[in-house]
Amino acid sequence: MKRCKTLSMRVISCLFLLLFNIAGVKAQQHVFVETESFEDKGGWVIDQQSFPVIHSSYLMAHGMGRPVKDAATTVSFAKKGKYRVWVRTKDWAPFPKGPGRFQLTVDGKTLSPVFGESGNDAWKWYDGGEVDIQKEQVKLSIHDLTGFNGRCDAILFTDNAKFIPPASNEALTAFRSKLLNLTAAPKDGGNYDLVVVGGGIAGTCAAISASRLGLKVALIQDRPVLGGNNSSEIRVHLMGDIDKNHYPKLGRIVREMDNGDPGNGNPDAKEYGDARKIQIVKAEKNISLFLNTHVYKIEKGNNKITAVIGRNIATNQEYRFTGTYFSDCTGDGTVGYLAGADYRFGRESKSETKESLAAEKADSFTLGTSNLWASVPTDTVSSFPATPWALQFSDEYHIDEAKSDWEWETGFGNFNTIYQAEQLRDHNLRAIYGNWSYLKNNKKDKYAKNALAWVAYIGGKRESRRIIGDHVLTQMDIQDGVQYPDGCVTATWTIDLHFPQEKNSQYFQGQEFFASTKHIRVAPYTIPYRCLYSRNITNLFMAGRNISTTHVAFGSTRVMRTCGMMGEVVGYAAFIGKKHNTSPKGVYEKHLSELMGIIKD
Amino acid sequence: MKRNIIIVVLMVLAVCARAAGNGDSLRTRSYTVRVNDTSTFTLKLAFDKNETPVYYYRNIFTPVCLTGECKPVYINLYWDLLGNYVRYDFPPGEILTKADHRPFKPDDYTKLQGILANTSSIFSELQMADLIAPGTENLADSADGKTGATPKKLKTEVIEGAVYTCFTIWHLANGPVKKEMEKITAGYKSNALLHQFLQSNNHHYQYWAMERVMDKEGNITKGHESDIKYIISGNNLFTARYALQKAAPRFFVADTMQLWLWSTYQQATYPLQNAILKKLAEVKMGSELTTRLAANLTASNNEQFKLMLAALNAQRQLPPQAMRQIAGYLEDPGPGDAAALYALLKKFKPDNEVKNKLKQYETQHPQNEL
Ligand SMILES: Cc1cc2nc3c(=O)[nH]c(=O)nc-3n(C[C@H](O)[C@H](O)[C@H](O)COP(=O)(O)OP(=O)(O)OC[C@H]3O[C@@H](n4cnc5c(N)ncnc54)[C@H](O)[C@@H]3O)c2cc1C
Repeated sequence: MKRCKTLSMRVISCLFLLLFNIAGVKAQQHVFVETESFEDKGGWVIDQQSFPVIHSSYLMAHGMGRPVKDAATTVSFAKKGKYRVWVRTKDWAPFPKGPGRFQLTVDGKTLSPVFGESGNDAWKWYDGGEVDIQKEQVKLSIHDLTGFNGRCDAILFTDNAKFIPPASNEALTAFRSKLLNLTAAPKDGGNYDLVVVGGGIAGTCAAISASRLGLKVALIQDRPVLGGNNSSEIRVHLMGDIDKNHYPKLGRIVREMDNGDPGNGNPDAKEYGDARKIQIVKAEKNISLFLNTHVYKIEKGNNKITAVIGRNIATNQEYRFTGTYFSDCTGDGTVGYLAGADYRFGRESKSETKESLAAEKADSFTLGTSNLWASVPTDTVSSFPATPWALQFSDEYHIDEAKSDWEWETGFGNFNTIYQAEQLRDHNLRAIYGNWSYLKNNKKDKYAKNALAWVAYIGGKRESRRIIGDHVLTQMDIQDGVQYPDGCVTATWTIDLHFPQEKNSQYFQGQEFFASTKHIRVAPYTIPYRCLYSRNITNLFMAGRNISTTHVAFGSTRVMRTCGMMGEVVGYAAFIGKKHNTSPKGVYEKHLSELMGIIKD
Repeated sequence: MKRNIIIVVLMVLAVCARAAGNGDSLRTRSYTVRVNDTSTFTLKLAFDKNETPVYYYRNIFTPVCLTGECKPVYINLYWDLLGNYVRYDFPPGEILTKADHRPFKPDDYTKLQGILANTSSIFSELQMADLIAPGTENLADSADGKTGATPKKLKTEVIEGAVYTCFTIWHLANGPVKKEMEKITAGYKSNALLHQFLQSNNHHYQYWAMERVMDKEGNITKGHESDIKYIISGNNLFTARYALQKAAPRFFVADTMQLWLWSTYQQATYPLQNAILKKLAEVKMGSELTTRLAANLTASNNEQFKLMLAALNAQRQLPPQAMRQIAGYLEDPGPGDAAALYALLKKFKPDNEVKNKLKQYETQHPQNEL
């Protein structure tokens, strides 16, 4: 096996020479190209949300119905000659055939197959035919034909006409790792007092809070922006009050993050202040910020995490971050899950928690994932294509709205938030585009001059795993207003548990995409510090929507100002932990008054 | 304005008049609707030249009051025959004004129509008191939330400066009067009206009439078969699917019906196609339809392959031509599944040609794979 020099650091096209042991079988050349590493992404975007399933990011043509610009890169070939091209893609909306069509151009020649319309929604390798490579460096581009979310994971050139790339996830992951040379040791990402994984509001606040007390902090976020659901990629506004705090000091960092209230799904990206959030973090000399880095592996010993491994979602370069404390602010509870932390997914039963709002039976029902969208009025009439592959609407039932709000939501146990993140997003897109196409073509009086300004392609998640701490917050804690000695973050949001809207269920049973809620008002209450660290992984904190609560209590704790304050507390606790060389639990057991002292002062 | 007006008595005043406010000269009939012990109002039903009822309307005069100050509103509301709000207009010279007495702008009138036509408006959950309750402005806005009357939500759903006007008219348009109209219309039920409803493209009419021309088993009253076909092949997926699912399988047994269903399938949207395929599993298919289905077995995707296969599997017998066609896919089942095709063919009596194909398949797929 031999690793070949790539043309550019960022292009992971690697020539792979496989020498079979069996005599007589000739060496084969593989050139493996990850699309997310293309030098010029054109109008294509990187999607890493399916990493837990396909172990890779991919490129997607998110053009809201208008073909996007080609993505292009240069690929190096060590050997000239005939190669078979394989393209890894899927038909994301096979009803019966999806709209995500695209073509491949190699050295100026467009290959004849059209990809993305196979009628099969599994990620697969498709035969692209044969090409004759007569140059060392060849330009490769992918050409979108529709603007409707065609996607391509990787491209393989092989000089062995009979070679079929691995189909199964495990085999492909191994193959991919070898060809991308990911089997080599990751680069050193540094050693920190606190490694925060997930740069949503919770993670960002945790990092800032710790760094301001002098801790050396890594903040690792798998998107190019900070803010999570409050970023311009998802566009949810911050809720939860900070002016009713038991401890008024909390919320200061949250306030800095707050970019004003643009509502949900505002068509103007700037309203969400991505750049400002990054500036604030970059101004902290103790924070090393790693954007575009997805953590997917951890190392541990004796129930203690020693390192997390992150992979750059574009270059696939891997980094290893070591640290004293780790904070799982991924929303998905990924770090805890990888480390073997106790966690919960879905709803507990009434008999288990004694909560009046709990489900009769425990199940895997979670609140849903949203892809918000907005249209804007324009001066001229515009058209939008028919979308036969999308959900279908009629005069009898459609959503008569020019923009979305939180109710556009899919999940509710029909799909798994983590492992079906792609299907969830795609279902949301089918609802959005189907409905929009209906409005544009059948309600011209109202919508002829409206044009889609923005549709999220990153799903906004509400509920995933909840890592279990030394305390699990319940409905009774909230409604009885129990003030534990370690009660720190004040929460004010209602118990806000969504369910499919009745009418939407009637028309789209099992495929609901529109939600309702009942707000159960609560008096301000405090969340104990013990909900913010794992009960069995000894150096793991949590902040955000994946803290230790029941499903019912999560209904109230998940709003972002509240999540941000959890982050602030985690920062303080890590500081005290370090000072006394103790674990998060040790802080509770031996140094609680000192922690509460910082919070109070 | 109280939400729960109780309409106690319905008095028919067979007064003939001309429909007001719409220029044409339709004959009308007036009904007196009693709201409570002391008040009634007049609801009018307009008829066309053939004496068929066409719509309801009401000439309204109502005070809209806000903290003690009231202003009169004159407006005419129109409903379809089942009491679904359709439109509004005004008696000559009347307009709407806002709190500061400024008249509505053209955009406000357009917006008003949207507000009144929205049956799930936020107003449906609100009482007048909610709008003027002190502290409304302090309600936390949704996290997610539609916390009832959040000021923000209200802003997008009402005309600023005319919240009470919108609220009052919305409740007049969408209130309990709907039930009274349904009752009156029921008294006019006739074959002609049912035809008209079924062919109307008004889904409220269609559902209402379907309830009356189809029994529990889905048998269709004689004379209304083509009305049901019209709905199934129409462009409202939801009424089409409902009619299709409700119709008795027997309705689709005749050859001509099966050919019609097949051509409907070819024009249908994907979800309706699937509904048709599901229905076929309950229907005894003739050889013509079976053969066409077999010919298309691998033309679509895996989901439709499975549905078609289930329909074929549900038959007592398959015509030889269809069997041959299916055997032809054993080698390349496209989005389908060869093992499932094999199992299907084994179930029926294959002719020699098919038997040979099955044998071939068996040799290529030794026993343990089958
Ligand atoms: C449509 C919608 C409406 C909502 N309405 C409101 C509202 O009005 N107000 C409100 O306050 N809340 C609202 N919520 C809830 C709220 O947004 C979430 O509960 C909140 O985002 C939780 O914050 P967080 O920081 O824990 O997680 P997130 O915002 O999810 O942030 C986690 C971040 O971690 C990153 N990440 C995940 N895994 C990894 C990994 N392995 N490696 C590196 N990075 C990773 C993610 O990309 C993400 O950016 C809403 C949610 C949705 C989806």
